[in-house]
Amino acid sequence: MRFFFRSKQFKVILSVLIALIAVSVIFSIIGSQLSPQANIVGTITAPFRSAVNGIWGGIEDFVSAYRDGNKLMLENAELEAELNDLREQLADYQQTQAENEFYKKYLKIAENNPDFKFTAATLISRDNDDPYRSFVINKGSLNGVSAYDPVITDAGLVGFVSQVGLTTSKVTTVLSPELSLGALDNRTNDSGIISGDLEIAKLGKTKFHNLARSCNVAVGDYVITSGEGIFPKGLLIGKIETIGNDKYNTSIYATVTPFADINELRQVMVITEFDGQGSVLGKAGE
Amino acid sequence: MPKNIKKALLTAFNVILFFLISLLHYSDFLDIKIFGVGITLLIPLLVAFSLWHSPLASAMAGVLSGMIMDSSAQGSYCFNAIVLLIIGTFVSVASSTLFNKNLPSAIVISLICAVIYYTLQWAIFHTFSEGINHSLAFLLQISLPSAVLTALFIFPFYFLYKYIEKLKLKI
Repeated sequence: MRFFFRSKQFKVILSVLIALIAVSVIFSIIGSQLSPQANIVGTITAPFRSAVNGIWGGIEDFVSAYRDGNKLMLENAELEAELNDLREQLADYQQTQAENEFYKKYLKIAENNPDFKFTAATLISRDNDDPYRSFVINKGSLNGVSAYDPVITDAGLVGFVSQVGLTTSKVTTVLSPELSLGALDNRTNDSGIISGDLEIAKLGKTKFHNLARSCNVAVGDYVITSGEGIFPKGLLIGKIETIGNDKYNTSIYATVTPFADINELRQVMVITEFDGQGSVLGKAGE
Repeated sequence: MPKNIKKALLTAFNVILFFLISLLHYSDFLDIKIFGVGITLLIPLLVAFSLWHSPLASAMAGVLSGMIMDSSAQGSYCFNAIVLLIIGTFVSVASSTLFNKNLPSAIVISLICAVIYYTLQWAIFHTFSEGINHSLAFLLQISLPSAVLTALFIFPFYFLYKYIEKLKLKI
């Protein structure tokens, strides 16, 4: 082993290690930016990740169609060879139709919020080690995406852009304790904070806590963003499932099931601009 | 088939295998979960690879696959690249000085490496963000079971690289 520490190999490995540690420290301090090597590797591998995700999506669709008893597909199996060309056309049509549906749903949100500017993005990889289901999208700073931009689906809030690269970005979801956002009960206007929790994140839920003991929140109420922080006001977050007292009996918390199905996401919208964006970050930076 | 071409084919096989496993780790393809506990297939793969390769080759395999992981992993700047570089180098050096290149050694090294990887991941990314109670729960319920489960996947990769070594000897 002594010879190894004197070898040229060891010196090369040590140099690479020092360089990586330096990059890691620098970018940890800067925060919210992907490191150069992650940017390069992310850009190179993005098409492969998109392809893998697309293939997997197709397999899942096929399996679910099969599981749901779509026997018609099986009965027509003999005709599939002849129908291949037509199927390809149909697939293109369905994809276009799905995209149209996707954009149509956002049109409503856009109509209600004329100050919003959207960028459509596709999920290209998911951090399976992360119990809070963070993921990577195929849009980055070149597409106008910035750190802390809110990410939504037509169903509701998904999370925010936590790290942005040139062509890809990492998204932290509403299930994560890293996210802490002001929220309101849509019916009673009771305010609290939405932040993730390890135990309930496994169940795809998040926590609405710091609610006053005198609040009137009820199971089934909708929770929306309060507009304090990095999110615009009025974005749907989820529905209250259960209500409980916190550990010290000083406040109430509620578990919330997000409207956006975090586990089944494929396409999302990033809100790149809205009125009041950056006001909190600006104040924090002052 | 000439020796050079055979060697090039083996190198290409390794590159594709590492690339695929690193890439698929962040897709739903390889979202293998047993009792809610996930695994990182790249660790046993790197351990098996490093048993029969030089420290430099092992370190580079670790760095490159770690970089692919870092481009998808949450909150990670160079964490995977650094840890996998160290794991690759350690296994390669240890397997030529401290351990024999046999299955029991491979299992022990794989377990050590997986525990180091998951404990570091927990210490860096989850100790402070979860609060002390949840942080310990994370270590005991997710990190350590993941490490044990990950280490078990050494079997297919060990036998794969043992077979490749036999092929190399024939070449």
